[in-house]
Amino acid sequence: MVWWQRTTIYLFSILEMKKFIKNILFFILIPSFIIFGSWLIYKQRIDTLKFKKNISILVCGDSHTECGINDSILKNAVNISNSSEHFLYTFNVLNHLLRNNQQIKTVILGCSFHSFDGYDNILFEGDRAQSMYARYFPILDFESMASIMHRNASGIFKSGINMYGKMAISIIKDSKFYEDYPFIGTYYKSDNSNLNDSTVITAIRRHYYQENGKLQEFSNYQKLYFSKIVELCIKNNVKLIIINTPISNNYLKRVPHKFILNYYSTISHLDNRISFWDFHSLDLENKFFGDGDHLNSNGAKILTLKIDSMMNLQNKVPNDNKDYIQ
Amino acid sequence: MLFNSISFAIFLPIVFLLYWFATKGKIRLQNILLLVSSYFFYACWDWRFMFLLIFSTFLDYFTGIKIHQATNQRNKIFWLWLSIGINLGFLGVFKYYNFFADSFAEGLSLLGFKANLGSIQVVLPVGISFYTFHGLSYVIDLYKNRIKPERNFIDYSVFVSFFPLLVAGPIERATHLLPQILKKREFDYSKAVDGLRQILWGLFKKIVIADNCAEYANTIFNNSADFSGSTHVLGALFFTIQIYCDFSGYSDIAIGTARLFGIDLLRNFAFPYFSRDIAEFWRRWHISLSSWFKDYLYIPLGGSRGGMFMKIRNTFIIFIVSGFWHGANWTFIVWGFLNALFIMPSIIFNTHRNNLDIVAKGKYLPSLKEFFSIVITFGLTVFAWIFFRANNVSHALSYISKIFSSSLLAKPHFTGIEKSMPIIFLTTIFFIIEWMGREHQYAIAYIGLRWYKPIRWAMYYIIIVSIFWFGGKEQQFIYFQF
Repeated sequence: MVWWQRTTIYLFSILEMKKFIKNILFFILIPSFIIFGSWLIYKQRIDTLKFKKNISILVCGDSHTECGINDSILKNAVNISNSSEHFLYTFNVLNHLLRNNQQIKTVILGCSFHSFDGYDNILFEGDRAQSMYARYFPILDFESMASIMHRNASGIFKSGINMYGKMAISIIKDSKFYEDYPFIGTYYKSDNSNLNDSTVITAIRRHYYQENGKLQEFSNYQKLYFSKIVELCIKNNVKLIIINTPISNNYLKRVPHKFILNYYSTISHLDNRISFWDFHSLDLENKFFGDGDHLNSNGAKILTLKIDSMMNLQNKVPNDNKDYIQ
Repeated sequence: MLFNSISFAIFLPIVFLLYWFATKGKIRLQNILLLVSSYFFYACWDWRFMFLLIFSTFLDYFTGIKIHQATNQRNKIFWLWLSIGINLGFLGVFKYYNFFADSFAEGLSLLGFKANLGSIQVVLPVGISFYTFHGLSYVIDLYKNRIKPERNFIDYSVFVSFFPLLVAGPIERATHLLPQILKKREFDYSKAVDGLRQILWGLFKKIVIADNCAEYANTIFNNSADFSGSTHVLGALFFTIQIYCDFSGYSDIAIGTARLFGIDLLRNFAFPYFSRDIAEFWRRWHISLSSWFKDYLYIPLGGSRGGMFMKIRNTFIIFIVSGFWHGANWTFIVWGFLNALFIMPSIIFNTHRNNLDIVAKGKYLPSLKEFFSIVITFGLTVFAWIFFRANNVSHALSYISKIFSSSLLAKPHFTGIEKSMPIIFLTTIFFIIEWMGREHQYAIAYIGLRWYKPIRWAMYYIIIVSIFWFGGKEQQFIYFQF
């Protein structure tokens, strides 16, 4: 083959290569535009959402507050707790809501003995993590996104379709209510009464033990984002009340001691502007528990009324900066 | 670095762009880049075993030259057996030592003696069975004067270590791959697009079908005592589909990836589950290994020359060796033996070359006879796969005995059976697509030939969405353990 034939073939292959790359980019760009466009619309939608003017209390946390605080009883409150919600997500949800809802003056945050352990798995591993990404990822700040991307990029990709589906549904529904968006939870009313050894042991295993039977490690991310929530509330001049929801004696006696020590050690370092209400030993009969560690609707009624009366009391007592209530 | 991982999704485009742009079409640079990327790819598994790979490569390179230079037959044979001996020695130590030591000790204990040869705790180097066979094919071909030795070590190393085929094949031949490595490669648009399409189909097979079926197959096989006979059948079916989609998916990704670099690899699967007899199945399943055994074991043993007895003996030998190649476990040997048994009728009645073409060529549906032949062949294959998947022979036997019990008629049930329904539906769709595309290199190759661009792209998006939406829990490729 002579030189000009070789050059022609080479140039032809370069042209073909450019066509190939152009087509690949075009193939990627079409869905990218759709996804990015939808994300922008979604962000713009949720930025315009507001709670009703009278809503001044937010209740957030995991399934313990989700089942334990009935916001229809607690005046001017809305319960946005979500099952298994990591503090990373709670922080980002609060960050968004406090920015758009200046009328929020109080945040009640559920924080239990299990809150600082094992939660990193939920954040970075498995199907549960992926279902969480689909709900929360679009509202995360850059730092939170980066930490998840760093640890579980493939999980983010895998949850992509589910995530886009949730965004698309929210856009199409064009709801004006926060409750219709996937990152906002609600009070879960359970009429069950199923507190027994089996449900308690199940809960204990889930909270404090790994699959191989070893004790859970403490979660660094939970502690980090717990302190970020505290800082966020202080910065926004919002009163933060940390509550430890009631648990049964059967459950309490099985909680490994190191988690209780760690819990109180973390709480004891809280800023003195933060209130801590400890209901873990609230005297409740078994019939007020839905399972091993969650209150049912009757239990939630008692706890909510208790919180309501304490808030009323606190409003009447000035300079009550920090209170430990057993 | 798995083919279905994010790291590979980053690695591949980088190597691709460097290969076509940074090397400016210079073959020397292209081969150096392929070698460096292949070693990087391999080092991502375990960098320590890279030295074994390099040593094995150097051994065959060196003995290859020596075989060519040998002035008499004795020297030639010496260098050939030196290479074969060391290659198989490594394979023996890493893959089979514990098996032989345990079997020997068990054998002695049956005779009333006690022996403990000890066991070695060593990880099996990934891909050792594949690159050893690459090297062996090279030295044997040299010995047989089919090829000339490759003097350039880098070019030869690319032949052995080319990353798409390094860890699980297809098992290439020097006569097929080396000339492509030595020849100047120009970018070919349609080849690259076809390669991408094949990668996409391979990913679908692996992530959607194989990984999901794996979950159910593992549940049933790992807790087989708890389930009914009908659930056992379901478990065997799940594994049958898993192993096909896992391995042929891997091969599709490997072949597609190689095409992006302008290199054609040997076809490894040709719709084996549409075979009408076991002989046809073995012409369509793991083709590169079957043909390797045929060329380098069956024919040197005498092949079909020497009468029916020789033919039967040699068939049993290659099937049992093929089973043993898969792993150091009696289950693989039984699997190989069973396949030899299944193929015997067609060997004895000389019908093993009756079905050379794909079934129902040019037609939509097979004839009734063809259909029943496919079902029977498939049933035999499923039966043999039980041994392949079982933990040991007694597990396989108890699994089979449960199938042939009264609980065979019970409704199948296992934890998660409800969740498996969409996967069963998807698998059905998958087999329909495979059937429609059976006359091509891979099932969706015809999309590129017949469909208009918007429809074609829509199909690609649907496949991508399915991969994300239905993708199962990430599982290691089955053949990586071999």
